[in-house]
Parts: sequence; structure tokens; C-alpha cells
Amino acid sequence: MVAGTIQPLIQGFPLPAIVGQDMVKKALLCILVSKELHGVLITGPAGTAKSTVVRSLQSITPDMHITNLPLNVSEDRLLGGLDVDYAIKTGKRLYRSGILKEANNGLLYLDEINLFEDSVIQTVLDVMESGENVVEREGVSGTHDCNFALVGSMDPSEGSISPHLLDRFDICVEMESINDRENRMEVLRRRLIYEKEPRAFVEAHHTEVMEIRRAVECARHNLPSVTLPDDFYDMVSQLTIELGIHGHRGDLAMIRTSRVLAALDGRKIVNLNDLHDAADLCLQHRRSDSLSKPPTAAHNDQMLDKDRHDSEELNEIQDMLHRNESKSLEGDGEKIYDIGDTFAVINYIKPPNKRIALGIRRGKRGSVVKSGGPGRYSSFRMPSGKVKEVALVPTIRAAAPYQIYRPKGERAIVLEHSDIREKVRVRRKGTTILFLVDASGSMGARRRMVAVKGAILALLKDAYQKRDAVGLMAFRGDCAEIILSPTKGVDLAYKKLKELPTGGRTPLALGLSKATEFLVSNVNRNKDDDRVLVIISDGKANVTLDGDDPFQDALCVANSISSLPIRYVVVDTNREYPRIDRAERLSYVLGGSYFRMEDLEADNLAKSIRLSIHDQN
Amino acid sequence: MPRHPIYPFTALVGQNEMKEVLLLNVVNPSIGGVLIRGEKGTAKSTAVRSLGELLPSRDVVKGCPFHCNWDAPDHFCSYCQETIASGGSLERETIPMRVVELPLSATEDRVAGTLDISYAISTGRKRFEPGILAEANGNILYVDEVNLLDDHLVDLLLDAAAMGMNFVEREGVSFSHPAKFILIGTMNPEEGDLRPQLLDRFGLVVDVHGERDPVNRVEVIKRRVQFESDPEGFLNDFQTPQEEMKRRLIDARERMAKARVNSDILEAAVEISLHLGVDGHRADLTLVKAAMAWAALSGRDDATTDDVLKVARMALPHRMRRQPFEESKLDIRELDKWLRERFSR
Repeated sequence: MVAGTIQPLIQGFPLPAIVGQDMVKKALLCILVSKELHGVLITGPAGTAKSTVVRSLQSITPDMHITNLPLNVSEDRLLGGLDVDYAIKTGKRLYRSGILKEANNGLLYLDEINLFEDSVIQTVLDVMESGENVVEREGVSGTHDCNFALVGSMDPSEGSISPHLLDRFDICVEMESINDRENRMEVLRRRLIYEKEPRAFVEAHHTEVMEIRRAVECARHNLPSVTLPDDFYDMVSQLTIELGIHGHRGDLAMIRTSRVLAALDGRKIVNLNDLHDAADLCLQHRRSDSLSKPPTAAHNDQMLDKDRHDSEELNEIQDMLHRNESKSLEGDGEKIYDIGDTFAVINYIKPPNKRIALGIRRGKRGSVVKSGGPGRYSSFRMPSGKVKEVALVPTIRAAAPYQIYRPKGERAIVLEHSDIREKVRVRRKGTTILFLVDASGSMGARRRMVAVKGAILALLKDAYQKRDAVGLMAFRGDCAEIILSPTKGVDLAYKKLKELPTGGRTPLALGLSKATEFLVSNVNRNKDDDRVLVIISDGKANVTLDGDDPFQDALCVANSISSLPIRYVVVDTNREYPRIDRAERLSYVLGGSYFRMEDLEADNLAKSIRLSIHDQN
Repeated sequence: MPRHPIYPFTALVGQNEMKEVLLLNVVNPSIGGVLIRGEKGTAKSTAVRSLGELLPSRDVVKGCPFHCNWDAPDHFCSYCQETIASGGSLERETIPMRVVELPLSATEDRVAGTLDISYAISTGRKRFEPGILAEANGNILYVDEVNLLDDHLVDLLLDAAAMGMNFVEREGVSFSHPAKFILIGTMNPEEGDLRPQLLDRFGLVVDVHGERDPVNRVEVIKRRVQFESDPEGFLNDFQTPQEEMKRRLIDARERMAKARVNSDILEAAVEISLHLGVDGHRADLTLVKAAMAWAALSGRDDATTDDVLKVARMALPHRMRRQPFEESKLDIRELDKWLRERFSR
């Protein structure tokens, strides 16, 4: 066996040489002190030294080995499995441990954790919480202790991890951005010196590193005797209730963390400062608005102001100016509205009804699991029927225990048909989302289009993070036209959206039929792809296809397209009272889901919570 | 020498910014590569491939599958480390740096490396078979149409680029080896965007356009025809400029190695980043490194704020966006004006 991990001779950037980032450093020292803390997650934009700070921990605790979990880790390496060498030699099955065993008593690091498959994160979290890795696979069973400190890092602009996984991290801390000139220059200066003379630079910080090392060792020693004043327990639960945090993980995390913070500070009794820091570290990500910044009050005021003063008059003036140029039947004005505020989007595309076809199993949302064809080789299985793609290594693994009994001749390994395993590939299933936007004059009333564009942008952003293809179709006047063919180049979509004019009447029926026609005929490249039509309208149709009532007309079309393999989402832009239920009726006939525009906003719930907190202070 | 003649770098007409950006990376490999964006047929790939001819040679450990850098024993692979640990001695070898291509159709196991199947079958034992990332160590890794690269391959690249190491934990293979490379990508932006994380890994970005000057256009075609009809003669014609360019690069690399960072350019870099609201520190770092490389390439020892300004348009455009959808705010003219006002002391 030649394989093995390199012991890092590489001199890491020293922790004390990292400028600022006090909270991140605190969080990481906490997890070095106590294995009872369940994971630290570091978030921050690219290039803010997330992984540098994690790797710098090696010099603080030389006894804890930092194990890096690669993105493409396979299950047999993560958990362990059959010992192939032993099986070939002796014909016996023996468990051979994997990375989790290597990480035992060390630190397990998942860089870019948001890019891992959920199942891997889940497995790692499960093992961490139980402190034990129990394996039953490939005909072997194995169990070993598994205590490790878990650290993950990610850039939230590439999408987050699912909230229930997020909740299982005790601590989540954000890298602060350094916007002070002197500090920023210092960051740069230190980095350049380090790159030029790494050894000398590490030497220079040796004393400081040793000090931190001693503090961590002391804290480990003292932690068992650190106590929390009784009334602090009440304060913790009070706080979590006020913040509207579900479950008890937050409370527990806060108590554990505050004790470690006290120990790190050399005290045996937790004080209010510790509690404050602990709240900062443990509760931010448990609020439902975590990782998304609240819009500032000033910004909101600005928006309101604009609305009040400019919009009405300005619109009218622009209306008049444009009237002459407009080609629409009614001579309605055509305007281009700005893009309003965007927000984090709820999961508005519901998974389709469960249709489990043979050979295709649905993975997590947006992925197809199958053998053969393109995609990432994720695992293997016993072939049923014709073998599409042999998974050689698992095949050898399967054959290994029988080698001793098979006549071999010159060969080292003899394979039989029953050994054959085939590859299972996971391909991220493309989702094509076509936004059908009502760009008629009624959408321009009271600058509604600004908010609508903001909402569409939010949806585009969401689609981007899920790597869906997005297209844009608008209907107004007497036509419905494709403005953007489905593309993954979402920047283009942004531009088109920005330039999208508004004005004219509302040919809803035409829009519906054109859009579905387009989705059916043009998005046929891959049968596995999901097709979604998002209709953004107030439902006030006033152009017919054949002279009937315009809205009835639209419902007719809706009825005829409802059986197509397309999922429909209707977003109602109407904000007037009393509500007109047209958009809702449309979605009912389509068999789709219905949202009011404000319902899409994942932040809404969070906002009201925030307000209530402010009231109490 | 490669069997197919390669179009000489110095024979490329126009496209100065693209050429400069490529040369800067040769002068200082730690700049972190370059992304070339432009329409089809703008000599993007030709330029990258021709760069191979100009690359300097480097000292490596002889016989090491990862071409471990002789001068960086801290970063040796496990094979070399084992040899040293068991009392063996390593030999030095000088080999040319080269351009390693990552084809879009590459599979994960070929990129990261995998179990050596034939060895396993014939001996019943495991051995790591190095992949493209191993080959790329110490070289240029070139990805044509990088925006079309499959997500799971991008993830691999990101991992390796971040750590300078390739970790393989698959199929019973547990192995890691150094994978430090200059990442060069080309793409046609019309065909889709690049993920911000990957984008941020590129030190510099350059946008190329087709040559618009009719005189130059004719020259482009003439040279191409000449090269295709008589490659050897063409290469001969350009031997002198090629040699000159090589010497210039070697000189610039030596200058670069001796150069010292001055506070002026540090300050300029930080001021620019703050002015533009760039998030991470990669922009600052790249600005300084590229400015120093540009000074070295121009035959000067000390970089000035002018050099920083010169490279700002290459180091910043792709880092301007905080959100995937906010429009790029980089206005070179505005920046230029602001810088001149700010630094005309």
C-alpha cells in the first residue's frame, strides 16, 4: 500500500497574524476546547480567509489532526468498508475504517460545505452527534468511536445549506469584512511577507501561537468546573423565545458555548459578556432570516419617498410623452420601470406528484439518479438486466473475498458474473423555468411593476443558485413574445428584465398558450428536465382569442394545458383590496400553486419578528 | 518538441491586453491565472497554447509523477517524503513548464486521479493512478470553454486551487498530492456565466474582441495563411522575437524575485478596493502582485501607482459584483480619474 495522507509539513498562516475576525477566532478556539460543541460554520464572501483561519488551527493544537473532507468523497472512504487486500489474501471479510476514523480525536473540515451533497453532511452530523460510527455495508460491520470537532465554511452567494442542517451547527459565525484602510493594508502586507518567507513569518509569530495554545489547554482543563449562574438559564430561554427560535438546540448551544468562552477567558463562572457573545455565535443562524441581510430602514424610506413624490406625476408625464409612439391598440403608454427590492425566496416550486419509474429514482430535489449517461459517479449497485457501465472498483471489492477459492492461473483476480456492479450516476436535473410576465398597462399602476421586477429578480436569483435555466416571456397589447430563451446566463436575464417595457392591454389567454407551446416545443432537449411555468399577473385579462369574455377565455386555455407535464405557479401581483380572486382561480384551473407576491418573501416572517423585538427594547 | 507546430506567441497580431495578462502570469505565477472572455475566433486558445513555447524551465524531483518543485521541499508529495524519510536521496531534473489541457469531457477519475486498475488486477494491490491535476502541478492548467465545465469538475478544480493540493478519497483510494497550477480559462460569455466562486479564483480577467483595424485584420489572415502553408519557415522567421521574448521573461522573473513591496502600491491597491467596495482580499493581493509583475516586465525594479492603475482593469472587473445580479459597476474611466486625483500628490 502506497496510499497515505501527507503530513502537512507546510507551514500554515499563523492564527494571531490574521487581522481582526475576533468572533471567528473565538468560535474556533471554542471548538478546540470542547468536543461537546457541535460544529462551527463560517460564512463569508470569497477571499476573506475562511479556510486560512481554519487551517491555522493546526499550530494551536498539534495533537488534533485536521482532516480535510474532499467534495467528491465516496461513501466507502468516508465510513469505511471492506478491506480488499485482506479479503483477497484470506478470503475473509474484515472492516477497514475510512476518513471518519482518521478524524477521530481531531478536526474534520468541510470547505465549501454548501456544495456537498446533503447526504454527506447528514452522515457527518449524525456521526458527530452520536460520537460513534456504525457501519453495515459490503458484508462487513464495523464500529468505532468517532469524536471530532466539525468545522464547515461556505460562501452564501453560492447558495446555503438546508435550514435543518444549518440548525445542527451549534455555532455559525460570519467573517467580517475589513473596510478600514490601515487594517486592510496590514492584511496585505502580512500576506505578502508570508508568501515570500513563510518560515520566518511563522517563526515571528511563534510566541503568540504558544500563548494561545496554553490558553486552550488551560480552558480544556478548567472547563468541567465552569458554572453558569442559575438565573442565566432563564435568560437564555427568554432570549430564544423572543427571537422566535424553534427547538432547543439554540438554548443548549448557547449554554455550552458560554461556558467554553468563560473557560477560555480563565474564569470559572460565566458572566454576561460570555452570554452575549454566545448569543451572537449560536443564535444568528437559527433566526429564520439568517444569512440574508435585512433591508435598511433608510433604504425603505427612500423607496417610499420616491413612490410618493415622483411616481404619480412622473408617470403621467411619461405616459403623455410615450402615447404618440405607442403601437398598442388603446394607445396605452409604454414605460420601463426600475427593478425594486429583491428578497430571499421561499421554496415555491413544489416537487411533482410522486411518480416512481423503473430505473429512475429521484434524489434530492433537482437531481436524477440513474446508471449510464452523463453525471457524477456517486455510487454503485447490483445491476438489474443489462449492465450499462461497469463500476470496476466495487466489482473488484465484491469479488475480493472469493479470490482464495477461485482457480486463478496467472491472474491475480478472477471476476465472475455475480461480482459485477454498475455505476450509479447522479446528474443534476435541469429545471427550466419560464417566467410569463404580464407587462400590460394595469401592471404599471402605482408603480407596481417596480415591485414585480424586484420579485422576478428574486426568483431569478433563486433559480441561479439552484442552477436552473430561466426564460422570460412577456405579454401585453395583442402579443406574447419570448424575451429571453431559457438560458443559464442569468446576467442576460437581468438585463432583459431591466429593459422590459410595460403598457397596453392584457392578452392573458394568448400568453398562456404561447408560453406552454414554447415550453413543450423548445425545451425538449432532455426528457428528465422539469418544466415550470411561473405566471406573474393580476389576472385582469382584457383581450380575447375568439371574442368571448377575456378571462373565461384564459380559463379555457388553462384547462386545456393543465394536463401537460408542466408545473404551474401563479404569482398574484394584485395588491388591491378587496382582492380579486382571478389569479387564484386561474391557478386552480391549472392545478398549480398560487402565491401572492408578498408570500414569496422568505423574509416576511422574519421581519415581523424583528419588529417585535425592537418594540420590546 | 510537439509534433504539431504551434503558432508562435510573438506572431499574434494585436490583442495586446490578452498577451500582457498571459505574460504577467508567467512572470509571477502566484497572481493566480487568468480568464479570457471573448467571442469565438479571437485567438484565445491559440494565444494560450502558444504561451507554452515561452515558458521557462523549472527544477523538479526526477522521476516524481507530480513533478515536485525541487526548491520547495515543504510541499513534496508523499512519495518524495517517503524517499527522504527512508534515507534515500532525490535527484534534480530541469524540465520545461508546459500547458496541460483539461478537456470538457474529462471524467472525474481522470481529473483527480483514481485507483490504478491494471495494477490492481495484475497484482491484487492498490496503487494511485495520477490524473490531470497531478500533471498540472507546477504547470499551466488550461480549460477551454471553462463556463461549460460540469459542476462536479468545477468543484474539484476549486478544491485543488484553494489548497494547492489534490485530495482523493474515493474507491478505497486515499491519497493527496501537491497540485499548484496557473489556471487559465477561456470562455464565450454568450454561452453562459461562470460561478462566482470559480470566477474569484482567477487572478486576472481580460475581455477580447475581434480585431477591428482593417490593416491588422489583413495581417492576421496573412500570417495565418503563411503559417499553415509553411509552418517551419514561419517558425524560423519568428525565432528571433521568440528568443527575445523568452529572455525578457527570464529577466522579468529574476527582477520579480528581488523586487520589494513598497507602501505606495499597497496603499493604492487598498484605496481602490475600498473605493469600489470589493469584499475579499484577493483583489488587493492580485493588484499588488500584478503591478509588481508589470513593472518587472517593463524592465523596472520598483512598481508605482501607475502600474497599479495599469493592472486595475484586469484585476477588478470580475470582483466587482457582490451579488450575482447587481451590474458590474467598474467604470475604468471613472476609476482612472479618481485614481489620478487621489494619487497626484
